[in-house]
Amino acid sequence: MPRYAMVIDLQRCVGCGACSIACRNENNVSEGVYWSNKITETAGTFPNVRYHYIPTLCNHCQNAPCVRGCPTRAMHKLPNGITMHDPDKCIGCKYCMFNCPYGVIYFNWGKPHKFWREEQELIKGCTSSPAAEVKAVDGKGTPYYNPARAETYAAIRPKGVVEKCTFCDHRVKKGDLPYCVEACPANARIFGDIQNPNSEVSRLLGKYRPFRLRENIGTEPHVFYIRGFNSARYGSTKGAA
Amino acid sequence: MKARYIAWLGLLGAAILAGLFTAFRLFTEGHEIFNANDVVIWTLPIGAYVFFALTSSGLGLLSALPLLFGDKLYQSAAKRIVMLGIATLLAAFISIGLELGSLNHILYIFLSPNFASPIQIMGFIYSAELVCLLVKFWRMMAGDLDSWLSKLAGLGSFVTALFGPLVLGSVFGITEARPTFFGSFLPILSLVIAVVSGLAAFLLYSAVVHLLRGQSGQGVAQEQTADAGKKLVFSLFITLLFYLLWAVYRAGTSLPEFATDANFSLALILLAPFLMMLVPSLRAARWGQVVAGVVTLGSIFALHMSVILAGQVRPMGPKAEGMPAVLSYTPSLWEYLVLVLSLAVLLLVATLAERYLRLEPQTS
Repeated sequence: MPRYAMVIDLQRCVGCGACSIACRNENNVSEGVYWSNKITETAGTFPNVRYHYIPTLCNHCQNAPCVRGCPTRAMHKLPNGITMHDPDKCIGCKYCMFNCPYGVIYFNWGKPHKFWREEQELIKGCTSSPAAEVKAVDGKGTPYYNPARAETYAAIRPKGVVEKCTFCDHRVKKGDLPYCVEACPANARIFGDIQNPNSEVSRLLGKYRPFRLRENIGTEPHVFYIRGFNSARYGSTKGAA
Repeated sequence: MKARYIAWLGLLGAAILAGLFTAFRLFTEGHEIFNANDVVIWTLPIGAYVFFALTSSGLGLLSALPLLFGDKLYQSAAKRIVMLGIATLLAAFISIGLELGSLNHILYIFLSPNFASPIQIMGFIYSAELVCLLVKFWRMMAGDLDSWLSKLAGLGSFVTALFGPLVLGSVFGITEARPTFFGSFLPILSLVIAVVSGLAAFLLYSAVVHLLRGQSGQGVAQEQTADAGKKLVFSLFITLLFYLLWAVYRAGTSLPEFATDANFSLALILLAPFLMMLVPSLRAARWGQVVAGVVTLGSIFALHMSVILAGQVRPMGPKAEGMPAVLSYTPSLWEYLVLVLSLAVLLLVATLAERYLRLEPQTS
């Protein structure tokens, strides 16, 4: 059985956000919910500033606090290492969100895709209503509804339960890559079996020194970051002004 | 008297109706009617749950004095303490029930339990506590204090009241992600607070019942409340010591989470009931007991909220995008109404029990 992991090459990543958009389309992600997200930071003081961008998603931790704390096993591990969620068992206690050190689990506070349910025309007599748009393309909840998501998980999650990235388990099951990996225009995401020493993931982790988010708390995240892009140069001095 | 009683029932009824309307809105529209968000996840209803659950455990521990350890002084108050424990636990269950997003999935707590989860264990212990208290109350009302069932229920309620707060504290204490909570401190503090809350609830409730009935400040009932006042002094002293210790060791470190830590100055309000109950004349006065009970319970509730929010106000990871470094929280009307519903059910149960059941001191 493989143990899936992802490597994100920060030198290749340009911060375009295609991963996040692809994820929303593939997984029918609702407004306010982000399975694929980012941490940004602006360091320094003008004019000496630098922008950092770290793409984030569920880390599919080996010692996942969300799995340990879930009272109903709604959050559980698959044999291939994916941290999976079962919305039927989820009681909405939000303890996984409380427990997750990475802030990647979201709660459906209201009905998902509620803006697409609105019957009122955006501009009266000119545009159609969001609900009419959905109906016109035979969507379910959203115009970009992807029925393939329903193969292993609720296609659209109901209100009152949590949701998060599943490494596109429905695609991985069929031998495909997670859709964020597929969609990345810079090939900055590499997905594979970390237990296979010949996999691209293993090769990159041996070649570059990786880091993981909040490694010190022992959760064993399985999303690794390598390299970092910086085109800046500076003159050779001994530190004097 | 009758008009006052009907007005009181009417007030409770109105509060319950408002609470039921809140429940209806919650289950039809979702939890977006709360002022919670993806950063401040647990809010007022959780604070209410913690408050009521710990108070109920404290009452369970207090009831063990006469029913398990043979303390004669509290024997005549045992029924009232157990009844109050049941009513308080019901209030806790209402608060947590409305906090949960998907009540129709609750069956999976039994069908798919995860015994590594402190929430699962807490749910099991507090359910067991409710069963034990109900059985104990039933046997006491039947005049049975000596059967194996009565003793088993007494022992069961003591054990669950002891471990309930410890496990409730562990729900927060094993969260590695949140340094504000992590460690064994909160479970122990929860047990101490349960004792304080239980004593304060008993003191307040007994004083109010006797004041409403115009009973004189003499006899066994007076001895009980005076003794509860003394016990409250001791337990408040321990609580203040714990908060002081917590504030001191956090002040000595530089973790950013500790900078937004709980507002420990709230604990200083507990000095007022502590000092009041130190004075014998105030300890014996009904109004003194009422004030001490209200101030203790009020500040304990505020401390619960302060601690619960302190660990959540700093957004983590990508949730910090577009957010301020530290968030603030004010409950919505609907969150207040969850608290109102829980409290109203507690008071309704107590009111009906006082009217229709024989809770009066009995000769043993």
